[in-house]
Amino acid sequence: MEDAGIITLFEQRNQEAVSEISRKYGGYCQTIAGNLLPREDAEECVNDAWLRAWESIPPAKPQCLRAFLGKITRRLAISRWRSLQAQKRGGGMSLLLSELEDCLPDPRGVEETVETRTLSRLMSDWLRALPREDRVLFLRRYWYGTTVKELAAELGCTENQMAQRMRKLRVALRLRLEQEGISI
Amino acid sequence: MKSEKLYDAITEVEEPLVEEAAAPLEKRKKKALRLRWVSAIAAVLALAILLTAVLRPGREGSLTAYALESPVYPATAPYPDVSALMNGENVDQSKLEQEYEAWEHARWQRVAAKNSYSAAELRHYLQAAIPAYLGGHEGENAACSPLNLYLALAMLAETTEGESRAQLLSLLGTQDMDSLRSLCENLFAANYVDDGADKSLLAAAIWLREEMDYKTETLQRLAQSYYAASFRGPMGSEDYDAQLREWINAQTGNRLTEQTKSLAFDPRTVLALTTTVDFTAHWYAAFEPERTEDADFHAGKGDLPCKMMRMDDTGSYYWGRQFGAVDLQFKENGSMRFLLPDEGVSPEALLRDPEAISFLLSSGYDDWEQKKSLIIHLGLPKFDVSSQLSLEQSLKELGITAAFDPETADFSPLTDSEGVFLSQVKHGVRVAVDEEGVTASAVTMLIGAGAAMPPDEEVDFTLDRPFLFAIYGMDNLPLFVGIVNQP
Repeated sequence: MEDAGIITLFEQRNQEAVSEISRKYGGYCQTIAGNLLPREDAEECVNDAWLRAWESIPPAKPQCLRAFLGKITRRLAISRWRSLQAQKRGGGMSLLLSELEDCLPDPRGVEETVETRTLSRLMSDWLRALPREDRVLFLRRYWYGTTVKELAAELGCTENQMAQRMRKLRVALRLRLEQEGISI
Repeated sequence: MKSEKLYDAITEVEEPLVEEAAAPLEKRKKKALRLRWVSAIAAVLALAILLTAVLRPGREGSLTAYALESPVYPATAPYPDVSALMNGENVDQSKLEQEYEAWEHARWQRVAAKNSYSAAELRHYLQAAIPAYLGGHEGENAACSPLNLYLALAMLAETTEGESRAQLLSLLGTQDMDSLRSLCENLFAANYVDDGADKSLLAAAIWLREEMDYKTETLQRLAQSYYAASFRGPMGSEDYDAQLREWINAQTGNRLTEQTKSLAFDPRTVLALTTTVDFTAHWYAAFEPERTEDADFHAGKGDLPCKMMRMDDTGSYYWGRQFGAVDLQFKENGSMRFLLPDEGVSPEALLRDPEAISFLLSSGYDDWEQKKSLIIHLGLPKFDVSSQLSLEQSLKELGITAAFDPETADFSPLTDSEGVFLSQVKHGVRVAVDEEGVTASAVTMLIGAGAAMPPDEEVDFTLDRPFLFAIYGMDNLPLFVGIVNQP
């Protein structure tokens, strides 16, 4: 079913809408959550995402249903990861977080820390200005949680080359945040 | 943990970016075929400013040498054209890498130029100049490029001395010529790009009278800090007029021919300064052509038919005491902002409202409190507006009087001829906006790039009565500002 049709089902409060998104985007959202969480938790997270979508549409009328659902899933997955951390269980997210430490700007000389929202806006600007391939690689790694090995296979290069490329991107992001005088 | 904050911020990046990255990258050979950008959507067209200085009758300068200067423009590397790099079935990978590197290098140079100045440095000028340039045209379309005029006025400051220069520096908000030169070099570099995706080409020229003496070092300075070419020829001759028109048309992609066709130097002209901007950008997400419909535009003098483009999406809606506003992002850099005055308020009145000017000069999302993330049902009329402004009076009101006065004008840095003064300031702009652009698959747009939590309210934002617009480049400064009274 087309996305517009699914959204109409949501608007009519027809529960078929949930079956449709589960059928169409279940795999996609499962991958997002699964890259951050253990499998069982990921499945629960995706089910929670369907409920959240049911509560959000309407009034929300997403132009891009897939990314909309992906974002909900990711938010829920991060939240769940945090509670798992408290119980000393974890998933793939720990590694991603340690990699992202490369991006943290030097806080010296900066008085105020930036809001997450402003940071997102800056990151969107930075990403849009990147060549498409770098932009997609960065998001596939840090948004979708795709492994370096998988990314290397996707692009036909070695894992080592891909790891170096990702590192260059992280450093570029850090420099950009520093240029903007950002402290996190 | 601080990296968690980064992780949260990554979660909230714009949805089109997330969507773009949903599928794996294709291996290079295939991917490369998709690298080419398509047609432009927001073609903001060329604008030319003409500053003409006239020699007072009876005072001719002396004949000197013919040495004229040509600028060396900032490097602008094209985005790699993969079709040109195909070798049979394969792409020349090393060449592709090289071209990427060159493109990225040029882009980072622009970023570095942009980061060398702040919007605050131009705030004083923009705050005063935008209302002055666009005022007095009630009911008509009017548009200007404040940055283009800034560069033209800076060139004028370079060619003047004494009170003439002091007044210009005061308006431009700089202490001395060194600061002004440095700022102009960086403004130019940050806004100069033609890589096959974005196009923002600035150009300037100085036109000298054939018999006039001039100072080479000043022309060199104009070439170096303002990227101005110099020409010298017989004022009033058909050949020289034709060269002027040809130069402007070439700088503006032949899109101002209607405005330049009758352009000619007055035979008494001693020197003229011209600056142009040719700007084209793609919407971040295109309007769907099939949703464009016939509609009425409620102009002051009655309804006018227009083609209304439609789009619905989540985004930031801004407001002030007398207006509502949205931003549309361009695909690579910059954005276009639309301000709809409240019912009963004209765009011209809005320009006199300090709050509206403050909003125009704000970055919007980050530094405007009155905003909310909503579902926005946007209606934007296609428009193609041309405007030809004579700005002598506006500049006088802004305090630039000495350069206009034959008794006080001092052009000694440029020429030893006496009696040279500024007589005309003409400014032509054309802005065309339509729905063309990206492929049908990319139908998502974000206004203001908010895209945080799903919105819980909706707003209709239909620009079906006179409105204000502003176009921002990479540096978030208004490259163009205008009023649409008749789309």
